[in-house]
Order: sequence, then structure tokens, then C-alpha cells
Amino acid sequence: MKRINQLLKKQQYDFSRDFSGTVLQATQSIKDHSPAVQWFVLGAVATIGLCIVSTYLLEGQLSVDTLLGTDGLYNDTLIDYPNIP
Amino acid sequence: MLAINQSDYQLIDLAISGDDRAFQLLVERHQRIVATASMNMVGDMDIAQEIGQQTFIRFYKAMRSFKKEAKLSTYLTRIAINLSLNHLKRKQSFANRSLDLGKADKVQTASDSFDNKQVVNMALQMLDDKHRSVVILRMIQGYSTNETATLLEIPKGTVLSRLKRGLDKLKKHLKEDLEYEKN
Repeated sequence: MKRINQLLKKQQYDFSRDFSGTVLQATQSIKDHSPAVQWFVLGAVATIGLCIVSTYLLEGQLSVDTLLGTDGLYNDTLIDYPNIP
Repeated sequence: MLAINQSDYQLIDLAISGDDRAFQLLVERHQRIVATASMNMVGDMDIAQEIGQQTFIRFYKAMRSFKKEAKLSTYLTRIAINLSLNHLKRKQSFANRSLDLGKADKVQTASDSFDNKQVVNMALQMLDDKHRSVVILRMIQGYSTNETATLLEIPKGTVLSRLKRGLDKLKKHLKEDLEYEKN
């Protein structure tokens, strides 16, 4: 049994030399998809969604003009010419 | 400034603050513990290396919640053993992994005793997973009976009985080789 104990104590292993580099590379990709980045993307998507919904509710329709707020330019009612007889 | 004599906890703090070199130093410091646990569990260096990577990636993800009263080496060993056991559960075919001599050349040794290591590793693969994990932790990694019980979440008495059973089986498997060596 003593011989087996000695043999077992020698059962030590090492990974390849580039192991730590490989692990580090893998962690970099995790960093790129870190919760902070995910929350930022989620926040941006939610903001755009809210803009679309609120525009639709205010304008009653959705188009590039309503989204950009330029639809009123074509039906300009600001300039009223006086009705001179 | 990084120094090799910095404690694991100091390096963890640096790694959390974004210092990649500190994390790399932790990997370099503990890779042997993880390699020894996983290689002895699965008997294939390619798979052991994959398990090793998963072990450190899991640690990286959980680093912020790592309790500093725990020893990092114990924590990593626990992950490596659990991942190895999961792998072995998925791959039940004993014949494929136990005596795969073709893969022996991929084994990287930490000492010169390559032949004995190979023979002992193959004998270890012949044990049940539950016996092998106890033998590895207790006899190879050098954990105490209490620590082994905590790591595997089994009672102390079970550790002792599994160790006895495991060593008896190992002795039986190695007997021929040891007898051969004597002659």
C-alpha cells in the first residue's frame, strides 16, 4: 500500500503552456457580452420602442415624417394670409 | 503593480477591477491543481483541458461573489471535480475512456515517471466515479478527510469507506504491474 501511496502522490499534471492565454481570450469574449453592455443595449432598444409607441399615440399614425416630426411642414398653418376684400 | 507574492485575494480584487494580468496570474498559479483533478478524473488531457477552461471561466463569472474566507484552490478543485463528474455522467461508455492507449501520448507529465503515471492513471479510470473522486482528493490532492467530505458534500464516514474501497480496487488493478516491476 505504501508503494501505491507513493505512486498516487506523483499523479500531478500541468496544462499546456498557452493555457492561461487561452482562458484569458475566453474571458475577453465574456467581457464583451458583460451585463453592463447588455443593459446598455437593452436600454437603447427600450428607448427607441417607447419613442415609436408615443409617436403613434400622439399622431395616430406611424411614418418617417411623424417619427422625425416633419409631417407638419407640408401642412403649414402658421402663415395665414389676411382675407383682404 | 503586480507581484508574484501577492495573495490570491489581492489578485482577485485587481482582476475584478479589470486587471487581466492579475487574472492570468491566478490561472497560472492554480492550473496544476485543476489539471491534476480533471486529468485524474477523466484520463484524457484534451478533455481535462476543456474542463480546466470551463473551471476558470466559471470562476471568472463568479469572481465578484467569491467569498474570501474560502480557499481559492479548494473552490477551483470543487468546480473541476463537479465538471468532470458531469462529463463522465454524459459519457457513460467506460470502455472508450478507460484504456484508450492512443491518447496516452497527449498526456503532459509534471515529472519524469511517465510510464508509472500512465499506468496509475489507467488504473484510476477503472474505479467508479465516486471512488475515484475520493482517492484523487484524499491521496493525490492531499485534502483531509473532512475537506474531502465538504468538497464532495458527503459524510465523513462515506469518504473513509469509499477511500478504502477505492484503494483496495486500485491495489488489485495495479498488482500485476507492480509485481512485474519487482521482477
